[in-house]
Amino acid sequence: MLYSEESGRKQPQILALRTPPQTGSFTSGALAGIAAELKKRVTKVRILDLGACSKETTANLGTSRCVIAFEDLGADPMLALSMGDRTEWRLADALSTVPAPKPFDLVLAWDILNYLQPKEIVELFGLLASSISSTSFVHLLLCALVRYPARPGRFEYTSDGSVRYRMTHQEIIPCPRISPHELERLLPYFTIERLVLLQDGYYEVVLKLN
Amino acid sequence: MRRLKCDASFMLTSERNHAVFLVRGGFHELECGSGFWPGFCLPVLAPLWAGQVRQQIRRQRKTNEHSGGNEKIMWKRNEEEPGFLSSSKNAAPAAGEVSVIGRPVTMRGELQGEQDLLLEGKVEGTLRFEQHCVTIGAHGSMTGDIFAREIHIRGELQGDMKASEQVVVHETGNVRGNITAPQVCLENGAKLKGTIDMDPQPHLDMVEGAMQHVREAGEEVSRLKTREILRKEVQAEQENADAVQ
Repeated sequence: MLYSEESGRKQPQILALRTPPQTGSFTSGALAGIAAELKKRVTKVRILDLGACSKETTANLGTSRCVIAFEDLGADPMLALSMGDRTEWRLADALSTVPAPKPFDLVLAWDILNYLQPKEIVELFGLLASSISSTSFVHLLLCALVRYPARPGRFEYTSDGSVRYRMTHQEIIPCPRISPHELERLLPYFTIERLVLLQDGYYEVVLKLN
Repeated sequence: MRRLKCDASFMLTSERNHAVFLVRGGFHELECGSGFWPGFCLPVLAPLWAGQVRQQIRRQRKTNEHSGGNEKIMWKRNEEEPGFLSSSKNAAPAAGEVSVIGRPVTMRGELQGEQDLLLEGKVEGTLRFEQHCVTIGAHGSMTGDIFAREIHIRGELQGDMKASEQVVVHETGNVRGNITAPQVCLENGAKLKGTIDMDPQPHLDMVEGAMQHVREAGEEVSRLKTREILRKEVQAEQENADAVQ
């Protein structure tokens, strides 16, 4: 155990990392379970990825009977502005596939929530709540470190069931960490089913619609 | 007669002491002594086959040099050479009978064609090349929908794509729209904002719809049953009350 410089309280060693490594991978137990569950479904599976499009994710998470939607919120030019400067940004305008005509079975929100203001998170998940059903899963990856890159990295679901990431920006900024309690407060339509600390300072959260 | 199929471009038939090697581009016939076959034929056969492949590579290099030079060696599917497999499945079609819309050109409206299309200019409208390949070049941009057998995106597209075979979004490609094709390839660095549907056949949606109807019918039946039970209970109570009176 190491002491955190900010609070002086004992923190697990993984959280004492200053920034996440440039590249890396970790295994997500929840994703493997969700992928297996989706493969059992008879009907066409619909997946929404709020990150950049990836052939690995498409090939490994999707089945031949699936529809995958990519939104790539991380590439939105408004996200390059600091949080205080994007007062006029409406997420509804940035999303082209939400609200969807049919509910999504899985929503992947990897490395995006730390880059959104609380009111943007509320708006995003309000929109998502109308585009999923009670059997859908929402999988989040959040950063728990003190500092992190200025823009979201690229995350891919690989064939061995792990998540591989690569940072795309060198600039490092303070990370607005979101506690589980705050997450519950921001997402009133959802229930946290699972919250697990993974490697390299990331943790995963699985949400279900209330 | 033994017949061994070695690969798609290379076939061999042999009897005990007579062998015919059918190698792509011709065939070679050899007389072999009894019992001589395995030890003799394979050492002879392998160099012959390797020589044919080397010749093909040389021919292909020459073709590429004549056609501009900077392309990688690419095996092109050829109707005259059935079974000669393409080694680069995602490569754009080689230059041949291709209509080209050049960089300074801007077009509006619906375009149809019976030939492959390379777009390096700008199009606002719809491209209908159902039996052919459409390529949006690195300098090309398109606003509207594309219907083709095969679609390659190296430039920008704002609109939907529907291909009967495959869609490839190359490294420099930037797509804002939906893709419907049985095979979709996204190269690293490709940008896409939209959906990918690799099973455009409606049968599963029909199953889904049918299941929904069954669910609704089941709910309706249970509602009717409940109503009937309640009606009978009320009726029985009334009869009891009448009997008491």
